[in-house]
Amino acid sequence: MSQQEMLKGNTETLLLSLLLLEPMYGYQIVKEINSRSSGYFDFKEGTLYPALHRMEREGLIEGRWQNTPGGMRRRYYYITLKGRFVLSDRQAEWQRFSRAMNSVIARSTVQPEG
Amino acid sequence: MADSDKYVSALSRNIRLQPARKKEIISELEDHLEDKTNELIDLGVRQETAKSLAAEQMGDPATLAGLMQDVHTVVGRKELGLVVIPHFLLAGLVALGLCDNIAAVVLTLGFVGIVTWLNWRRGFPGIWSYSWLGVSVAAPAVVLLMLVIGPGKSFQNLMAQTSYPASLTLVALFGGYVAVALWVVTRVVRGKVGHDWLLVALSGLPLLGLTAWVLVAQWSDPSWQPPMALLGLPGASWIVAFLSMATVTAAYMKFGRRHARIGQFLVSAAILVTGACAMLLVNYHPTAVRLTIVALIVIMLAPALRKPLASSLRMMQQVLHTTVHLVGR
Repeated sequence: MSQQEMLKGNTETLLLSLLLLEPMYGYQIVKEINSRSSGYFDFKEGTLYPALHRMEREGLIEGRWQNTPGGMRRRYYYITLKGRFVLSDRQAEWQRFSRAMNSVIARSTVQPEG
Repeated sequence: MADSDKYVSALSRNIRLQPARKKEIISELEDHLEDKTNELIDLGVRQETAKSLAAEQMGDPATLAGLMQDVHTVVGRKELGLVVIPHFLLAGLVALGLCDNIAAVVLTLGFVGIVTWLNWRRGFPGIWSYSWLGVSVAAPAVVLLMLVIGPGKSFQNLMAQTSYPASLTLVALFGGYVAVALWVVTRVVRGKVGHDWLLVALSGLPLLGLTAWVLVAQWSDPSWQPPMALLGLPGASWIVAFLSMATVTAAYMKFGRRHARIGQFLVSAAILVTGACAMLLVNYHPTAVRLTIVALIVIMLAPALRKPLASSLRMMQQVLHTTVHLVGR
């Protein structure tokens, strides 16, 4: 599975996790995710904004226009109560999934040839 | 024009949503483009190059616009439920045998009208409210049509069945309702038709069905009297007609792609008119049905034909101008 495919399936979880820490605007989200994942996750605009707007329509997050510390007007996204519940479920599911994956993968690591 | 400006223009061209929502989306993406440009400038890239690079990194504007459009046009279960409510209300009115009860009819239409008005006056109506608008439009327009078609005959007969002062109240209700509803609708349609003509056309679906039916009936039988015939129809026919409209509207809302919606609109409008005429009238004129379907669909889709027609006219003018110029030489 490619990185983009894995990202697609977990976009909402990543965004909710990030917004749980603090409200952020689109560009800030891209930079923050890139920085926290040491450059592994590189969000494209075509993935980020449709996802943010879809999540807003589903009531998981809420967008509000406000000024940045630098005085520029940006649309900040806040996680809602519903978003917190959904994130809690996703995190629990992810823990189960990663434990199961690790328990299988760890015992069958491919050794380099030669 | 800088590449970043061209990018924003392309986004604006390809997003067809309500103005308030569209403006918000464009502003947000424009801010993103600005942040990207500033970051490149901070890294030492020249301003013009930074603008071009930022626009290039954002990807194809038409694709991004299409993705944003999809998010805001695909409806959820809650909105789908709201879409079919006005049709269900009318079907329920007939099922309960209340369609000849003026108070019940006025209350139902009044409720639909008030919900529509409250939703539209905020300036950002939900996608579901177009079907409510459609029902609010159809009733006064058909009443007006019947008044025009059968002067001194159809409406007068209805009046004759009620005594004074009830008849006067009825006239005031009909007259006021028609006037206010048409005024509201004209304002709404004028403001919205340029932004999403397809949704406006969908709102006219009940009007399309009822108008076609009245016109065909009048053509097929000049002695046909709309109000009496409308009230005398079997309830099951009405219920089927309203439920069909609810199904058509719900199916339309679930289609995300624009061309699929256009196709569905054309097919369902033709089926609706033919079905209504075949089901509700005993002796209808087939030519009248066909002509009415074509005419009404053309009227409904007319806003979409504005731009192609205007560009064709401009092209013909240019050809004519060049020909005259060449002949003159």
